Amino acid sequence: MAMDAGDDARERLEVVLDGLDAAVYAADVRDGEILFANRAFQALHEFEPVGRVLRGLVVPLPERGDYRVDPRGLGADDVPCELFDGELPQPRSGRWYHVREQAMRWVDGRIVRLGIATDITLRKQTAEIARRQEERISRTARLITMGEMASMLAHEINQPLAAIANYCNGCVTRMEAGAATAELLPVMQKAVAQAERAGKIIRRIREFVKKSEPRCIAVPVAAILDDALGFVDLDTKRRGIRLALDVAPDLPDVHADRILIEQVVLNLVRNGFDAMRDAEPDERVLTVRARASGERAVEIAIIDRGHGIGEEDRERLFQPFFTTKAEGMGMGLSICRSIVEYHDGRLTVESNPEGGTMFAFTLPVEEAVRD
Amino acid sequence: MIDEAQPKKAPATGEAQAGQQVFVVDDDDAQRDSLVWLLESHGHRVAPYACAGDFLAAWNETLTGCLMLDVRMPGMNGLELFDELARRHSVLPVVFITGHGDVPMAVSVLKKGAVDFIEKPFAAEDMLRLLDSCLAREREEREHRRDAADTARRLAQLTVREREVLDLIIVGKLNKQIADVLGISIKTVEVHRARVMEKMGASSLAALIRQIVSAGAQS
Repeated sequence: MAMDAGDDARERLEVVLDGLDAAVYAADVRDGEILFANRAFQALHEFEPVGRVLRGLVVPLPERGDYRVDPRGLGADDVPCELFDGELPQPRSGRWYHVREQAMRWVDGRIVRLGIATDITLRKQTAEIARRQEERISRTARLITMGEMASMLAHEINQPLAAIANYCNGCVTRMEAGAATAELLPVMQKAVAQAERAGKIIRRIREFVKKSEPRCIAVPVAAILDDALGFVDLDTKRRGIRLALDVAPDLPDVHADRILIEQVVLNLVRNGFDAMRDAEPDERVLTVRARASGERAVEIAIIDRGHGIGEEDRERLFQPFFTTKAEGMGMGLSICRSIVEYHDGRLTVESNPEGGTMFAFTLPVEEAVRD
Repeated sequence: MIDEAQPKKAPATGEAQAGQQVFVVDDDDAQRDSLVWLLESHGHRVAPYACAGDFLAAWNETLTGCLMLDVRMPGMNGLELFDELARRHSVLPVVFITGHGDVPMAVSVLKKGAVDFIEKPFAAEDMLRLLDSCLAREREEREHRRDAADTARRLAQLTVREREVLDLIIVGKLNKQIADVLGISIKTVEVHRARVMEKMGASSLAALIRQIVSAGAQS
């Protein structure tokens, strides 16, 4: 028997609605009775939804207060109108849905909420991961390690120096071949200009350093350590290192520039990691210890069980450009010492009796500075 | 002395020949200008470009010499230019100029078949020596390509029978054996053989074989 045109259209519409990934439902605005649910909606629930009321569903629904107008009070003249458009979490499953509801006249004349809910959990999670990564990147940028800073400066100054070398080299070759002054003069002037360019870069660095002059305030030692060690979380896991934090209770706040001291801790901790690269797995313990040093200072110590440092190297350790690492510039410890001394503290190194090395530095307690 | 007053051109290091040029692509004005001066002081012909795009616009397959390329440039960087040239089947050798910390990049470039790289700051002698060897190699390769093309052109002029004779000569057959294989008289083989030598422009059997082998044209 041939279907009439109306049946045909309804069937096609149902095929379309059932083909959607999104859950589609229609419910009476007054008593919440579900009048229609597509296949995606039914698949989310273990019961047949049509005939039930909207309560305790898998698909989250807007609270009454979320609606632009109270749907219960809508009359035939008020529809169609939009009721809700937003993202909602489903507290039990932790999944997120984008829900859109519209009020309209149902086939039997009742006013219904027609809703469509799309699972956006994956998109939400991706966005969240991206946001967290971005946050980490911006924090890392702030705490750019001193080695990287030094490497950047080296690149900047390299350009004019290389140009000067090229100009002068060409001049020497031509002078050896008996070139006249007139030919060489403009080139030597260019070399001078490049030397001035290098000078300007140095001046810019000085100004930058002056602008970012340390600002010392009262800081809890634990906060400094927490922040700095947060950066090496991943490293510890990857390298199989156990981090032992030993902070004495009731330590007074120290007077310090938080970011600078975090950099010192970060550098010393990373050095400790590098020193333990070849240590036995159960020996890979890095201790970070904070305790009072007299009444006016706190001592922070970073203790590794690595290969240790020879007597000879220990003397040159804090000199600029001294390094034992293949990729190092040898600036880290020298800058660390400058930062600590700026804080009226002392950075020292000694052998760890259990094997390895201990770097320790002191910071003045806040009250001692105020006195 | 009048002679001394004349600015003498510095002696070329002997490698900048046969129309070879050094193409310098570097966005830093001072780097580029000073490198041009240094290279010209050593007798090289230099063509400077401030960006990859400028060089690409000037590029054609007849350019000969060597390309010195800064890795870090705004816009199209050195690596991208290198890839683009490879897509265009450029045979120009490339020397990358790298800065501090570019070593991993340089390694990946070498794997892609770039000729060489030199790290800034470099000693002038090292750079010049590297450049000279690049230019020498480029010249050799270009001559080889020209010879191969010449051989191919000459081979195309051979008749089918002459080609058959040639193939048998190369594998070391004597005239008698060639005559037997092809079912022709020795006299005829000798005629073909003379024609082959003439068309191929070979002065001896050894020269002929060398020519065919080096062009990779054995059938």
